[in-house]
Amino acid sequence: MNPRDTTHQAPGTLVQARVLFALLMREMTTRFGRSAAGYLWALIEPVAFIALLSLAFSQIAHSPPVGRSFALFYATGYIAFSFYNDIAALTGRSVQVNRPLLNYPAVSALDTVLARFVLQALTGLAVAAAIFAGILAIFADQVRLEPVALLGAFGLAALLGLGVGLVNTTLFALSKGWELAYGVISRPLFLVSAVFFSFASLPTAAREVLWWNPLIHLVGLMRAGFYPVYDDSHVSVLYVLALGLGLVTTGLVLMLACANRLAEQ
Amino acid sequence: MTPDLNPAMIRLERVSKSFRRDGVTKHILHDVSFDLPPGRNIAILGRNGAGKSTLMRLIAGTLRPDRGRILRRRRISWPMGFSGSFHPALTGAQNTRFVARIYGRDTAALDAYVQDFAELGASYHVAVGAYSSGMRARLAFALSMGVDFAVYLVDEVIGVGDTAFRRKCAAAFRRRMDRSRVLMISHNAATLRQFCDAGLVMEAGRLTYHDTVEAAIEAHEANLAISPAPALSA
Repeated sequence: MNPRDTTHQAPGTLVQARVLFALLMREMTTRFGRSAAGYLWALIEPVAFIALLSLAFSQIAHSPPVGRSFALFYATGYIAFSFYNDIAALTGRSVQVNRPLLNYPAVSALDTVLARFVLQALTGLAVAAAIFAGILAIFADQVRLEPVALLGAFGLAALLGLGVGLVNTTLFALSKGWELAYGVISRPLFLVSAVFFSFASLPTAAREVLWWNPLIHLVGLMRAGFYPVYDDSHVSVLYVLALGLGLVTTGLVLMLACANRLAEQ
Repeated sequence: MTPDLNPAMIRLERVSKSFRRDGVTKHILHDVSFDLPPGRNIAILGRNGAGKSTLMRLIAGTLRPDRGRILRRRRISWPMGFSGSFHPALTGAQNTRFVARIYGRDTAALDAYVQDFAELGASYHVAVGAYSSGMRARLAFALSMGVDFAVYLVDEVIGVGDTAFRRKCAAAFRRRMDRSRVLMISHNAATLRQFCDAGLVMEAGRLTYHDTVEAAIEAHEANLAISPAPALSA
């Protein structure tokens, strides 16, 4: 396998920093465009979705499963889910959308993944901060922020998203069939990730199966970060951490093994 | 900068490259280790299909070796006129700025140079996907002049575009040869003699270096006299 190209008579780390910055700028121009409207859209979409969920469920139920604010309950679920999901979806297509750029010897497939990961993680964090700040300012609720749980929720969601994205980057680029299949398989994830219900409210049989869905743990951690009374005894940080690290390792090995095919297709 | 202290400008370490098409494997390079000496302008010679262009693309980094590695100690261009590394969704200007950033160049300066040289007018701010192949080639040529590579790779074409633009390319290229080196493929011996002072002959997956371009041309013509090409054992 080729080590990082040092064409430029500059240390490898400096070259990689330049490449990552160039890719980041390239992603920003196509993602958001040059106007503020592009950035605003990244905020409007989740706000509209959370508002819709809150409105719909507040017609059915008297109060959310935890706390008093419907908006906060659905926001904690939806943001944990989408923070993971957006990273996984965006990084998974890194090579496909950047393939010509791999012709520059300094640009590697991993660079394209890392650039998209950094951009989406920062965007997701900014959006989450804005939405939570807005909800806590508007709706009164008994909230005590737990920095460790919140850090865990965002950190593990990022790790898991990067892992799934890395594995898919190689698989998507090599197999159109897998991309279609993955789309079908991952679609129902939203419905079984405790975004709009509470894990504790499920029957035992369902809990035993759904416990293996790592997104349940992310949502649990996120809610534990806001609600002092939330029961997070089902959350296993170790499980998600091991799964995330395993996926990242698998993704890196796959990418290294297929580096030539990724660059030349 | 003391470039001549380095042992080689380009080093091939046990490089193998083969292509498989219709069930037939064609070996272009087989376990080749080679140092290209610094400070020389090197002609690459070989019969049709010997893999001259593949070697050039391996050196440029647009193709990757199956085995082994290629070390580049100089800033090496893509083959002149090659535009396969442009992102079709980005404009000419955005592609230019991307290249400036990865090669550590001043973005504004390169932007101004390329915009002026490529003569694309308003199309410079249009997505490259909408360009004709001629417009792409002009952008690629302007960029490769603007980045100021230490080694230029020429695969038959120096200039691109219409006669006037070709003339401008050739003039810019000749000026650049004052401080940059060239690796050149050409079927035209006169062109090779004009630009090169050493030669590399490719035959049956092997590379032979000759210290003068005349010796390389002679060796190449001697190879052509022995027909057909000796088969490379896999």
